[in-house]
Amino acid sequence: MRRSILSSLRAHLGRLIAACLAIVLGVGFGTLAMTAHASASHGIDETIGRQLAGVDAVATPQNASITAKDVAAVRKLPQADSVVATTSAYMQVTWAGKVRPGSLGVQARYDTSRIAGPSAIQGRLPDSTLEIALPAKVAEKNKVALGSKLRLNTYNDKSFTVTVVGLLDDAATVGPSDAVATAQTVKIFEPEGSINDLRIAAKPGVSQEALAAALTGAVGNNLEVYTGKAYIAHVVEGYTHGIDVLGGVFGMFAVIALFVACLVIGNTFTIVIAQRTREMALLRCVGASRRQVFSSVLAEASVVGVVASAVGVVFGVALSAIGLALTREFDWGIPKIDLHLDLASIFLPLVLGTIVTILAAVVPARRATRVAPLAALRPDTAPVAGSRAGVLRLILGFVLIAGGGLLLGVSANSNQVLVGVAGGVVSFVGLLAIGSLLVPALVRLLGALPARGGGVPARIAVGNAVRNPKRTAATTSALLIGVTLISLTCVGIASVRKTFDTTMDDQYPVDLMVMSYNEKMPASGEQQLHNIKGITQVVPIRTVAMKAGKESINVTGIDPATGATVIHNADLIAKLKTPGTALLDYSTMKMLKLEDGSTLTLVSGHQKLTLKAYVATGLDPVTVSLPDLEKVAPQPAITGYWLASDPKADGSDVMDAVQESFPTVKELSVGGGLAERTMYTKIFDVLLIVGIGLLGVSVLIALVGVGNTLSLSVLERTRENALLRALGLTRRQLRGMLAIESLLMALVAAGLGIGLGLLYGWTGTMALMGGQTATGDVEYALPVGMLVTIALVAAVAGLLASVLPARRAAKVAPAGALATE
Amino acid sequence: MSIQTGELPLGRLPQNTADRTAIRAHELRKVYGSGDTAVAALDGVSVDFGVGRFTAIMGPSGSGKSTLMHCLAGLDTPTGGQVLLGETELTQLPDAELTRIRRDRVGFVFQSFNLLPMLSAKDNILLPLELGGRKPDQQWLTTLVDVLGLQDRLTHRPSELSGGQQQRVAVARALVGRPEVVFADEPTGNLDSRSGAEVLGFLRRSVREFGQTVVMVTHDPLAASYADRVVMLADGKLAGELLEPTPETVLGALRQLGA
Repeated sequence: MRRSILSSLRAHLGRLIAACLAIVLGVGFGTLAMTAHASASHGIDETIGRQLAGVDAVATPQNASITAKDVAAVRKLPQADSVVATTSAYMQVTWAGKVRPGSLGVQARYDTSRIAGPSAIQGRLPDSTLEIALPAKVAEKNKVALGSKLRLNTYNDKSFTVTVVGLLDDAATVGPSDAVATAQTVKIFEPEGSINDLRIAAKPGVSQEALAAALTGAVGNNLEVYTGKAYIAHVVEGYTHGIDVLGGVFGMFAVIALFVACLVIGNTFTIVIAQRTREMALLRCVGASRRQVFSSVLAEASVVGVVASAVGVVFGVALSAIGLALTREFDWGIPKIDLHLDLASIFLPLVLGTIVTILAAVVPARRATRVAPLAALRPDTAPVAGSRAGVLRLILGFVLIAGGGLLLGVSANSNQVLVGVAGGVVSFVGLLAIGSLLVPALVRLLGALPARGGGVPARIAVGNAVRNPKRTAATTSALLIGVTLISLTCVGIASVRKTFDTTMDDQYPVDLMVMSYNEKMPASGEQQLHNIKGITQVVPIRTVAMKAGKESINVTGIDPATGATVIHNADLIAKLKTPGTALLDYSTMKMLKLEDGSTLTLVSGHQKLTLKAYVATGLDPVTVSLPDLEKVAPQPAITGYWLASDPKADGSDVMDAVQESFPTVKELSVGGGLAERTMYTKIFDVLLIVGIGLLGVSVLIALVGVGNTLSLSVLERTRENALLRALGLTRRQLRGMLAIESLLMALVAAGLGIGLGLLYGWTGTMALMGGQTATGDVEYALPVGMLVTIALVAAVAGLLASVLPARRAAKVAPAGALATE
Repeated sequence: MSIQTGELPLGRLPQNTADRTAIRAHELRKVYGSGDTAVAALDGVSVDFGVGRFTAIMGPSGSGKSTLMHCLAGLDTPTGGQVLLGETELTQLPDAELTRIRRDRVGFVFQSFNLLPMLSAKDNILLPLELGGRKPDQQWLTTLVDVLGLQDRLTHRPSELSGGQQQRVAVARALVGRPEVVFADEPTGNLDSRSGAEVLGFLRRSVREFGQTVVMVTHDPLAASYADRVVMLADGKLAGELLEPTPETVLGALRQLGA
């Protein structure tokens, strides 16, 4: 039997190559995800370990902060060799070329004879007061050279000039890191400076546990005490939590990719075995048992699975090595890490890939056992796979769709996301189950147009596409999964974003609010702001201090007509346009003990202004129309501007530019919704790109499947195609015919997937966001551009998938193919 | 579908056809393989097929009769020599041209696997016309369908037809475009003798009544006896011919070839 398996593998290797490609891609992707995760975790382990080298025990503040008494007590411990109390000061720093200061943490330098500390890669660490060493990245970003002077301010406005004497090695740190100065300097900056933590190195012979126990005895229960090892683990956990979540997401996508690969492989085996009916029958004729036939197919699958998975692992490791090398080469704001391989990230994908392949082959292998020995003797067995859809399967499918739909409905109404996920999975599985009914029907529907207009080749293509419903359904399903998930991601993110936008408009009706408390705005202020790229509207506001009863409050006046261009809330604009209306924020409303619609009397000098008060979120404490304000305060000065920004512009650039405007104004307050909007826009963009990128892998695998099904079908239809060619079908028409067949499958998958994506995306948005908005309403987005792109990509990819099979089909000489029995 | 009886609309009456040539092979050579393993399937065959004649090509297996037919029909490209279909020299034509000629000027009936499984009988019959974007001549189609007894079978798929019916559909398909030549490759090889006789009878009728030119490859002397003329082939060379053959004369000629 072994010889028969090997020789049959050799003979059919070509037909299995596409299946192998699917496994290679799936396993490679899984390996990439796992290796990247392992490398990142390992990198963080190493970095933190290096940063905390020599530390045998740590005390951190828990119920109370660390006091000088604690430090003194710890220093007295006989087990302690070296004790470091890390302290830092938080300063404002004025960078050259920046109008307004940034912030900088300054850590006190400590004794590093036993315990690791920051090291300088250029210059030296500070030795005397008013010297400072900056993290290399910070210095580079703000163009600070070694030896230059920096102005530091404390938050209570004391000012110091320090000299930069060194640059710190911060290549392996994430995010902002602290500068270093001598302990004395930090004390000058912040005399009341608090202690961040205590780090202790043990005397020789003292274990970490013994030291930690002694430490607990010295500091009592108000501080958290760790052994050095436990503390490293604690810190690492803080970082790796995010990585683990990311790894989990990657893993999920890898599982999806493997599932799609499983469908593709299963389909390939089914077709290959259908084509080998006679061979199987012959084996049975010469005495092979059903079990032998079954295990020979599975053995074949195992060999394919192991080989392809091994190639996939190598491919994945190579990809992650290249990826990590690229991140080391180019600065993408991610810490540089080295490739780290562990057993799990190599063997898990290998084993999973093999198991998936074998699982995928079980059903086809069972089918192979059902081949009657007599089939070998029949002269002309057309290799037709059984295509009657199991009634049971269809019923089950419909039940699952109904049940899943019900769950989806429940989740949308009750905002239960997990129920929604379950509903989505269940209904999708149901849909896959009725695929052999649904997909051919859709292909026929979609094919009606080309069949009518495109002549015989198109009609034959439609006929071919629905000839074997199960095969078409399985091929389409693989593609459907990817397209559905990508559409779901697009629709979901677009809807969530739109919902966010709407709630943002409620909470922050104005994009940017620029104001100064008691400084004059420059005369050309409006024009200056207008000149900033990404600012579309600038409306000046005028704030006047008035009295409301005993309380003194600032009343802001804005021209209602121009104000309408910067306030994204029709309701507020309408109220503002009604003379005699005041818009109060909630806390002012509460302070003045007012209700919505009650009367507010404002007093300025001897003038009185009576207004109706309404609650408005996101404007100034009291906002009135300018004509109303001018009744009591003639010609008020401009105190600030409300701006509208172009939604397409980069929010952080716009905000930076606004921050840098008006150098004459010392304290410029910039508020409004743009900051938050920019932040979540970035998050959504990243989510979208990552999601589509990762799901793209499964689409790629599915397309390999489409190409594979086509080439196997082409093999099967060699004689048919030869007959068509003999009867006058040109090569071009033959290629067109296969292109139409492939296109039909791709478009049905795309159409169905986009439809499902909309359904799932909208339901998901309802479930996810319904509980988050004030009204419980969510916005449903229809990202037409993205969905059309998905359909186009699917169509083009479908056409591409047909290229190789079509070339092969067109190459066959009609006479030769007709002659072969 | 109205049934036409009595006079047939004779599209092409045989007129002075005996001395005109429908298709001609000149010094045709076809070599498979190269070097030491080269085998000449056709070794310089020159033969003419007259318009409105029913010619059978016979010979023992391996004699090159199928290769000859494939080269004549533009299904295969010969290694040397010429094929003239009417005025057209086929051997130098590119694939697209050959395809067009097969579609518009030649008809085929094969031994088996003649029909496309996903098309109905009628669609199968009209396939070559539709591939070329031509409209069928409804009257001619009706005549063919009537004569072949396929009226009730037009909407059926090939899998729902008997072998004889399938072959009659193939004959209808070959004739519906009124091609210059119909090639039949062992058209009765897979049929029982009664169905075989029906198909052969109809092929002969198409020659007699409609002036069709038919070239048929067969190894069955009985089938060959339906033809006007039998061309014998052996080892890739012409080995004689018979006019007005009977099964007995054909058998005798075959014996002489040493088959």
